[in-house]
Amino acid sequence: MKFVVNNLCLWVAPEQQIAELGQHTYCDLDLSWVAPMQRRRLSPFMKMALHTLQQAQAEHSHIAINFSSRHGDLPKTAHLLHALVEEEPLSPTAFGLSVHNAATGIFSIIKNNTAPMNAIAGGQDSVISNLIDGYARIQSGIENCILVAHTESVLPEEYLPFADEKQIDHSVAFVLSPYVEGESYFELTKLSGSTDAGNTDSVLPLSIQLAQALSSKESSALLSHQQSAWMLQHYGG
Amino acid sequence: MTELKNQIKQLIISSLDLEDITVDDIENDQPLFVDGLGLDSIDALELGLAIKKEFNVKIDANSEQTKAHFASVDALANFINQHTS
Repeated sequence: MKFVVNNLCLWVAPEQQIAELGQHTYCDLDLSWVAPMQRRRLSPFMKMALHTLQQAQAEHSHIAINFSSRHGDLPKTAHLLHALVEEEPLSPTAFGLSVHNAATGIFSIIKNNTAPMNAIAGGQDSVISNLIDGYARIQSGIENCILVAHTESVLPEEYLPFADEKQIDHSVAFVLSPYVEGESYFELTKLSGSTDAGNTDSVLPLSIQLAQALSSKESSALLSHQQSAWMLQHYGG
Repeated sequence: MTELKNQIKQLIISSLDLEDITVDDIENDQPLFVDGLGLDSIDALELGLAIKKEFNVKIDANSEQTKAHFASVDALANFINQHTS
C-alpha cells in the first residue's frame, strides 16, 4: 500500500510529552477560528481533534475526512454513564456531543465543509483501519485526497485497569493522497506472526507510533502492539 | 425576586458554559435566545433541564407558553415563582 502524506500535525498534551518525540509536538491549541459561542461546548477531546484537523487541513477547504478513535470522547461518555447510574437526567448537549462522529460533525458545520466524512473505531488498530479506508477511497478515485485524523483521551479512572497501552492525550491529522511516480512516498505492509511489543504500560498508541514514523521519514519503522505489527517504509523521490 | 433572578443568571452561565460572561452582563429583560444573549435550541433543552433540577418545576417541552417563559430572566423568574410557591 503506497501513499503520500502531507501537512502532518501531531499534538500531545503539554504535561504528557514523550521523550522519543522531542519537543516538536508541544504547542498551544489554536481554536481562535471557532466562535466563542461554539467553543464553549467543546470538551478537551473535541478541542484536540479540531486543532489538528484545522492545522492539517490547511489549504484544502473542501476535503473528505476519515476520523478514528478507539474510545471516542470517553471522559464525556463516562460522565453520562455516571448520570444514568445516579438516575439523573442526561445533559442533551453532552449526549449529542458524545457520539463518535461529533468531532467531524462540528468541524463540518464550522468550516461549512459538506464533503463525506467517516468516523471509525477499530480497537488498537483504529488508526490503521482509518488509513486503509482512506487509501481505498483515494485509490478508487472517489476522492483525490483525504484528511486522516485520529484522537484519543487518557482513559477515565474507572477504565484504567483495562489500559493496554501508554495513556496519552493526543491527536494526529494529515492529508493522504495517492502515490505518484517519481515523488517520495510511504509504503505500509502488514507483518505476519506475533510480536513482542513490550509490556502494556510502555507501548505507545499506534497513532503516535505512526505519526512519529511519518514525521521522521526513516527508511523503515516498525509499528506494533501486542496483537499485530506493520512496517512503514519511506522512499525518497 | 432579585435573588431568584441572580440565581437564574448564575444557572444560565454555569449550565451553558458561558465563558467570559458574568451575572452583571445579563439584563433582566434581555432576550435569551437568538438576539440578545444569543442562545440556541440546544441551550433551550439544557437550560430546561437545569431549571427542572434546580427548582423542581415541570416544564412542558412542546407548549407555546414554554417559549414565552424562556424569553428572558424576568419571564423565567415569574414562571418559577408561580410553580414553586
